[in-house]
Amino acid sequence: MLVVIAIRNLLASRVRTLLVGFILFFGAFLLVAGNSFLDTIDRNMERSLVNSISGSFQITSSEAKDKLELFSMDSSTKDYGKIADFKKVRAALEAVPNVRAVVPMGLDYAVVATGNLLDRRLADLRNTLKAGNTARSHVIAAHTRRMVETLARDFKVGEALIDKKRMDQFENDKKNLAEATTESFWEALGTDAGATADAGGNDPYAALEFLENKIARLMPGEDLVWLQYLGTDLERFRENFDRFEKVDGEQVPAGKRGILFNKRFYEEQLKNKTARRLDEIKERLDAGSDFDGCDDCKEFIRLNRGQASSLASQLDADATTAVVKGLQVALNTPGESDPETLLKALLDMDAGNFLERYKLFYDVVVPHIRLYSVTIGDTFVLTAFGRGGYVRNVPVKVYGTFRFKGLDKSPVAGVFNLIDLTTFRELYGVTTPEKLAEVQALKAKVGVKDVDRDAAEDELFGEGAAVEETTTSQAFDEMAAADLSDARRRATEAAADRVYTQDEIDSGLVINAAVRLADPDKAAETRPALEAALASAGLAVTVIPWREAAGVVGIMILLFNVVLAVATLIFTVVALIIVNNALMMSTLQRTGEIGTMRAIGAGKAYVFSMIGLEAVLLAVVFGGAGFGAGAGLIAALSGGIPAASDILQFFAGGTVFIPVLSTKAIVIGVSFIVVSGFFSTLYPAYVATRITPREAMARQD
Amino acid sequence: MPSQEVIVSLRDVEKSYPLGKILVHAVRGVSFEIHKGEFSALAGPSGSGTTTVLNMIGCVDTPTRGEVSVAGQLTNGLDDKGLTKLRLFKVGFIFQTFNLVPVLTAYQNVEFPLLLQKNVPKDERARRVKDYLAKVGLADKAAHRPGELSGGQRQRVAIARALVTNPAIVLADEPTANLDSQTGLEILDLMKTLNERDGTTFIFSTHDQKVIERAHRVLWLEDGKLAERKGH
Repeated sequence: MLVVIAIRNLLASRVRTLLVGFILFFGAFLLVAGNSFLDTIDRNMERSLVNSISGSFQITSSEAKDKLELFSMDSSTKDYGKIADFKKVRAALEAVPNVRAVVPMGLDYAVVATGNLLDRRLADLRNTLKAGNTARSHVIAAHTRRMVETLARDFKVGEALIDKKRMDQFENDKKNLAEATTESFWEALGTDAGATADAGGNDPYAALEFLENKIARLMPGEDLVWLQYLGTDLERFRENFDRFEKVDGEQVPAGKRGILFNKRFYEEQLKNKTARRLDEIKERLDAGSDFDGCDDCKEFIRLNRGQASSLASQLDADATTAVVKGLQVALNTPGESDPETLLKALLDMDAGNFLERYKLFYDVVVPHIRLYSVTIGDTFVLTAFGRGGYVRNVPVKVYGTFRFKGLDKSPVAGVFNLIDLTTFRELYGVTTPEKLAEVQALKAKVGVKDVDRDAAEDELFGEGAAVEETTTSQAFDEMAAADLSDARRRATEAAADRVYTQDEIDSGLVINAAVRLADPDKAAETRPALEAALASAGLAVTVIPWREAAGVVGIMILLFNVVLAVATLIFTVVALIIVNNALMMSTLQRTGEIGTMRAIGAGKAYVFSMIGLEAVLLAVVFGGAGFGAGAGLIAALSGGIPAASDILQFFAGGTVFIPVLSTKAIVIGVSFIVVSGFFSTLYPAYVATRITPREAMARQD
Repeated sequence: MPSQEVIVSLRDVEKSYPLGKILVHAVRGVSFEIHKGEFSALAGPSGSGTTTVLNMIGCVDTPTRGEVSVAGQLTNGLDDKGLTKLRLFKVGFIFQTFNLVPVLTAYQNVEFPLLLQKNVPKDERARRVKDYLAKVGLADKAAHRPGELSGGQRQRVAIARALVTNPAIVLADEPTANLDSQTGLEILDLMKTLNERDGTTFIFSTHDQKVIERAHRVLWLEDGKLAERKGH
């Protein structure tokens, strides 16, 4: 009878029932679907981070001034301390059950000077000279000469504007430029590809060195790229982070030094800007954007049109011929022979010709320009501010690019470039044996001797002082500097070829390390064991769960959870108020009826149950339906939602987002139904029990 | 005909309640007895205390002073549970505005107090509900809800509901006030028939002279006091 009364009462006031029902339905739906979505995002991000870089735990020195943030906005200013001997830490942690591996890491920043156009041309010239390709060196030398002559002309124009205080430097540069534009200088460079000084003393390498050191820096337009790197044991990194995948080039051979660029970084930061913009437009069109509706695309095209002259200046004689010929045919302008005009025409793209022109650009122009400012196989210099405050320049060879699988477009994926641990340590400021050897070689060359501080006076001014004797060397003569850079180059080559043993890689400094677990789900249980192992080995190292170590990303996940918790709370409170209010109205309207029931023998408990049952029915039916709809939506989307944008890929942990109905969502959904159904009924039901049988009679008195 | 068995007894009953800052003396020392099988009217002008007395007999209220006994049980000192139980098993109510549960059918309304009693088997329940609906002439309206019945029919359902538990006394609070005079008389006749045939004890409050005339006995209240008696 109670159920009959409750159902019929609900049906009798349909509008109220539907209003309350809608709130319960929507609340349950949103909480189940929303929590499932966010839990899935949370799990995806966890998997993305744990399997690509963070591991289940990160460790840092307990003396770190700042808490480790793998994805910090300003980690260049942070002090994460250092772990002086990684080998000991590894041994201690890898003995703990459930620890699969400990991967050493060192997170830092460096600047890459990618060089200006003249720098790059000179590098090309050096390569062709080395290869003995006389014909090609001629062409490149001619192109280079044109650049230097243009530079000399521009320099004269700038004379009027120069600050008089810097006049000395200016005069020096002017003198150098004058020398670099003489016929005799270019004879040495352009004609002899024999790689040695000819009989007349003309050394092409000396001339090249002169251009590299004295002239190239006068050319504007050098790009400085800020590069974040993660120094690590590259072999162990590859073995333990299964999201890691090589894209271009090759892996850094085991034990060797080298860098792997993040594919995303490589494309965005090091690729020719014109090509990059075209790629961006292409990516958007591929993702379904409409060219005419894409404001960014139009802006990219506008910017690219301004690049025609810059692209033309990159072309030497051979390249100019090839590009002009190709574009004349493709653009159907047989009479036009100016490369800049042709390139401008090519880059003037619109919705109709974009795809065709895009292909044309890659087919005709790209083979003749330097597509990336650092090419795979190159050795370039990383400049870092070492922890001692000194600037460290460390040459490093580029072996290839990598990506984190399924995270191509995620910001997480684009953050780190990977370098070997030895290079990291040098950049950090640790003096490696090779560095020491290089310094010794340089010292021997210039005749410098280490002087003990206590004995300095004797050594410098005493009898037979060795230091005095050697200062007569020609070491500070300008051209003799070539010898120094030669020594450095040789040292660099030796270091690049050297294969480091596992012991050498392990022994030494790291900033942090990732702890990979055999079963990441048992992270919570493993943490105390890790801490105990470190403590018993006497190592002052802190264990940080991945979520905390993730920094900004971790905060983002936390923020999501807070937002959801607040939404849950608001919905529950709103539902409570509305359901409570509706039941209150219902109760008050039925005072006479309830009074009658009490008069004819219904107890308080009966009345309480009757009102309560209505709320329970509402909650079960509508809340249940909302729960079902939420779960149904998640099930319907189990085929996956393509994650098109960068940010969606980040949440999806890949290219497809597959939401999963989570236990948490089920618990929250059920709790919502129970809470809104049960608690909202308490007060109205209590009020109902206060209605006395007199109410049935009082109405007629 | 009434027997000597006392069903209701009031002895020196007083009832006062606060109304704002004033203490209202609704009933001032009323004493009377109702015997089994009586068909009595409790009458008086508005505010004379008829409803208050009816409430005390119906175990809806308890006296401030004096004793009220219903079916041999003193109501003084009974808690809500005790009073509820007494109402459920010993008292039947008929209200001025019928007070049926609007979402239940006539059958379910009549069955309702039997369900509250919990100890009546299903078959017995069905038999009694049908029996009483037949007695009030509504056997064919069992499936109708109150909204589908006329005022007189609703009051008949209310009478069936009041009688179905075989109570010691049926209290009717102005049972004809919301009915036209013809229907009112029909209802009154129905109650009287049930009283005479089954010996059910009725006591009803009323202002209606025609109703008063049909009573065996009239308890006339004025200013909370019993002023005049008619009959027994």
